[in-house]
Amino acid sequence: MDFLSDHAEESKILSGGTDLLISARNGVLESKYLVDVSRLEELRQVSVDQTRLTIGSALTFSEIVRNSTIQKFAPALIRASGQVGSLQIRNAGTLGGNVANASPAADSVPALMIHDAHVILISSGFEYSEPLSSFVTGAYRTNLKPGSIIKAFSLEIFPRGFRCAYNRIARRRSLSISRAGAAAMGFLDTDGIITDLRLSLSSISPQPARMTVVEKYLIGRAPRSQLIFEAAQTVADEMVRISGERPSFVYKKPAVVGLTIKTLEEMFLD
Amino acid sequence: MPDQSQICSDLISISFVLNGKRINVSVDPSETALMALREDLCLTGTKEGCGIGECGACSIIVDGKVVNSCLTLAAQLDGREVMTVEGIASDAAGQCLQRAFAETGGVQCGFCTPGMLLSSYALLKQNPNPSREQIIEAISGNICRCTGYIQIIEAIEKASTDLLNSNSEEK
Repeated sequence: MDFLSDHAEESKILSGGTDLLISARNGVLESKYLVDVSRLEELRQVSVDQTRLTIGSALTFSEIVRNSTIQKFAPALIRASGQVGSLQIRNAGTLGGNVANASPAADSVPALMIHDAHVILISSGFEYSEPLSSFVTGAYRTNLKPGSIIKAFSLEIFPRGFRCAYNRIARRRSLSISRAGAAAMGFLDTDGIITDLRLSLSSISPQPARMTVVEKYLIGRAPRSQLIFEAAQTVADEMVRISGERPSFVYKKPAVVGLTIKTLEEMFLD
Repeated sequence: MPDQSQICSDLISISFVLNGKRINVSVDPSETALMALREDLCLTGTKEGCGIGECGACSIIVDGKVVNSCLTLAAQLDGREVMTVEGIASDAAGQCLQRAFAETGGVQCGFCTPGMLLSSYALLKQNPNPSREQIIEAISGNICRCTGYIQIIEAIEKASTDLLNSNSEEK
């Protein structure tokens, strides 16, 4: 950390390197020093208390998939982590690296968003946290300041009985960067009415976002196919509202509708 | 602008176990593990295919886990235990895989073979009796453009059977 604060402007953090080394190969990387944080034990802890689950930033996706605490409290993140890249990428790539790279297609981000995740940062000896939704400021841009590192992510844990799902669309199952991913968490009461719902999709906006319009629309109702279809249409409308109409949306709108339907039906109707 | 020549001349000394032998080597900070293995250590079994972590031809095993050496810096190998295809014949699992790949026609042009062998070796070490599904999952990060994968999957199944048989014979 001392080296990092002394050379803040000239350094870049390496945590896994599966994105960074591609940038380096393309000649995009211009920093003098690379600081590898992926083996720091302080960044590799998992803990849970009454309200929140803390996941160290330097855990690889393979380690996350096998962690029994994360399996219990954040199954959507397990599903998302298991679909990142290939086995080789999951063995090297880390949660912190995935978030710091800030790709709008990052698989882990929607799964973190449904947990109201906060990013715990360390900067010259002191710790602070920031909501993930504001930490990522746009496509490939974050609030990570020179000399700072991501220590961990703090996730809200849900009461018993929660349901959740994660799905993604990619050109093929392994390796491809996802075209869109959807994570959801919800509760049904004994009458089958949705009492709580969180929904977040990747690749539909430059910044991570929850689909609050859709969440509000569905809460208080029974999840029937027609209602879920309408909710999915609203997700596509939201995508157009946030990102503007794009040529690719001819294909992407039905894809996002289908992805949302699959995710919500899996969660509520299966 | 940082002085580029200055950066390149600052070599980093690293030490790691490579195919069972401890080695010390000085590497360029910007050098990938793939380059260090092929150019500095003359182990050319590890191939460069895409160079961006998609094809798996450059797969190596680091601390028991298969990773893409094109996306690993040489300096990241410091203190690790590394296995390349050159080290695969060191035990029964590797020998069974070599034989089974040859016998089932799992090798055609051969470019993906080192990566395929390492992915399947890592699988058999972790799970000596994998299902077909688990085999497919284990090699899903390795692209082959010749075989259509079937012969490779059969090779791994055969290697697994051979290995289990040879282990039970020993007992």
